[in-house]
Amino acid sequence: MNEPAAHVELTLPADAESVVLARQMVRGLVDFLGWGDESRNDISIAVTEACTNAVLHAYPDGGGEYTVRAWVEPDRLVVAVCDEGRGITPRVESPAAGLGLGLPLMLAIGDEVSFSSDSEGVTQVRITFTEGGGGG
Amino acid sequence: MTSASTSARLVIRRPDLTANVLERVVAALAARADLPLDRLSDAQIASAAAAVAASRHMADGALYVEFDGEPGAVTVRIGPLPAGAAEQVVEESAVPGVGAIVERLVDRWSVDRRATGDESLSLAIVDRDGAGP
Repeated sequence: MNEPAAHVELTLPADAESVVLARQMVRGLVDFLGWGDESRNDISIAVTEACTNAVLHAYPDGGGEYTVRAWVEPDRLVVAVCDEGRGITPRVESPAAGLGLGLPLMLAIGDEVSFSSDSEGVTQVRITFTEGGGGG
Repeated sequence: MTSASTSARLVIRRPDLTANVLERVVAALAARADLPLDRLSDAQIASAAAAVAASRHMADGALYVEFDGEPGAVTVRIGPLPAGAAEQVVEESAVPGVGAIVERLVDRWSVDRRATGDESLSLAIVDRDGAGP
């Protein structure tokens, strides 16, 4: 799928410490849009969950990177978290799997949420936000 | 607060987003590096000044920034820039009566030239009173 290049793109090592940078990048975009505190907090949570998914699950052997891409429009913000890890796999109960709240949170906060893996091995979680939106 | 090393690569293709995004990412990186507040602020201001100047030299209009953070130090690399542009970026950050902001606020700056002919501007901000390298 050809899509316009992201307005902002941040590539990070897939470790837990990096997630704060992704979150701050997105908070900067929400500030730019002038959306309120509630939107900022909700969007931060959803993006944190998407990034944490990549960190926890994309590279079971360690290493690897993920990229947070964002497109900013006057009335919406699209954020895609992409990795080149093992792709989308069925949930397996393990200590690293967490509470399983990530997906429900993303679905509740985002207006549109999609998951995809392409032939080049890129897995993408894509969330569209509007101010005060969520779940539709 | 943990202070493991952190690295990141940022591309901003819309100049109007630069200030909001760069300020927050640099602040988060500096906080992770345990820089004190005055140095965190220096890192934000110097990065922003360099980014504004660098954006005038980017052929495709995008800003490319790499970050490295380690305990007590943050390095911000802006580029690739066309040959000769990195030093101009430092000069163009000058404010009347103050001088070149970048030069005044960072601890070290350098130009890294590549075989391809382009270059990048590297800015280092350290914790002068702490354990910075």
